[in-house]
Amino acid sequence: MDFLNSQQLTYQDGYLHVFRSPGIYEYRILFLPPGYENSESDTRYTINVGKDGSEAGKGSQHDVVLHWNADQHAYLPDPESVTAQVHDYVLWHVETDTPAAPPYSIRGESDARTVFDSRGMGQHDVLTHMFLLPGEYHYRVNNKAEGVVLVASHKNLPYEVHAERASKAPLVHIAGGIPNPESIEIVTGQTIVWFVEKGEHVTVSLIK
Amino acid sequence: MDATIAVSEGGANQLMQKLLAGESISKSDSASWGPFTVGYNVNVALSGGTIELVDAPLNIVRLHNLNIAGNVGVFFTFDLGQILPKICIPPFQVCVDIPFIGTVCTPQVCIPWPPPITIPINLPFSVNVSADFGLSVKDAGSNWEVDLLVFPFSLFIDLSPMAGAIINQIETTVDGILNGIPLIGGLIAWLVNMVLGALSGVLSAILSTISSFIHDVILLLDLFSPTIPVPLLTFAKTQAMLPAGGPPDPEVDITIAALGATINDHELVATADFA
Repeated sequence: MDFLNSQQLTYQDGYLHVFRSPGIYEYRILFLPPGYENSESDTRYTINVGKDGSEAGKGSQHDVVLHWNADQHAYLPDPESVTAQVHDYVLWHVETDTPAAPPYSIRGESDARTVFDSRGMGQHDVLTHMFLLPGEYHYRVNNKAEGVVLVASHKNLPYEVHAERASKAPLVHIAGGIPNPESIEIVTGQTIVWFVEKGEHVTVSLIK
Repeated sequence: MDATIAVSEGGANQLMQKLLAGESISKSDSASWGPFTVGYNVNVALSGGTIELVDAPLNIVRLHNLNIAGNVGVFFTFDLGQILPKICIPPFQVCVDIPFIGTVCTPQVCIPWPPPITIPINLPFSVNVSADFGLSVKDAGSNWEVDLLVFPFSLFIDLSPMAGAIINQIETTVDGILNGIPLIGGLIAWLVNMVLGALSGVLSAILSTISSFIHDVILLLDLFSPTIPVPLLTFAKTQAMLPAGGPPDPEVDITIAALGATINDHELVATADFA
């Protein structure tokens, strides 16, 4: 079974945040739960958001690829800094061939105030997860409402059929802590996108 | 006074079979060839064979069609990540329109290759050899021994016919592992060939090393050591001539002062001189 927990992102996950206001944002790549920030590295990376953006819903995507450096026990982002415009969005994800790279989270601030935190996703934040192993994945949103992802094995599918199915990423809306649709069927290699339509401090985690 | 004991070829065969029953050995080693670490454990046992006694002046014990059989437990360990390139899936971009955000393209996932895999393969082998042994007599403390000492002989173990079985096993295992990874279906045959291609560059060297190791292990058997005499017959130097008749009448012993051994009329003849 895959590991799935929006508070602890892995190489199978992506975390996206939309920038609605211009300004200078700094983010850290953390490993521990909220409250332990002082014991972690204070290395910060910058996102400069200009005011000349497009209208909401028509922003551009900026990918930040995190490379695991075992010697430094740190993820190193590429690029180190991002220049974006209002309504643009940044997607963080890991690229590693080290299976043991530890789970991480992203926490961003502006003017000493927390603006976004993957450990508790805010409105219009997005979590993606590519399922690599088949199984019946029951998860909870905010440790309450339950959803399920039924992941069938790709092994019996012709490659073309598999590729066709994997070319679609089903979208799950989360509003008021409720996932919609509640149940989704996919095949291994397919990505699910959870979109926080309404809500704050949203988490998605498997039921153990 | 002296005594003569003769052992026929049939009797010598029985003695030899008893000797062979105790001749087995097991040794292991390992080495690396590029990304492949290979461990091998060799077990060898001897059986069969027939004795021919060649008369003096040659005095040779000739062993025909001795079967040397055993198996090599070979363990191929390798890290796919050292052979295969980085592959990220899906090999195409997947995008989704999200309200209030826009078109979001999901990230690729780069496959972390599994930890090093170990593939066990059993390679049986069997060869028949013939060897000549010289006869010698040794004073072994309280005994006399009639020993065999092998003459150098040719022994060739060839594992190269096993290459196909090894390739098949590795191909099947790697194919099974890669089949579990989604969205590389069109690449699997190519990737398996990359592993087999890497193996093909070193497989003959691996098999040659293991063959040499088997050869060396076989020569560690006492019977095939050109420096270790192997006792075929043993006589106690002190022999009871008359049993004890009671406390005042103790056993009467005689002592073998010297022993000779030769082959006459296809019989192994031991001559004892008593003191």
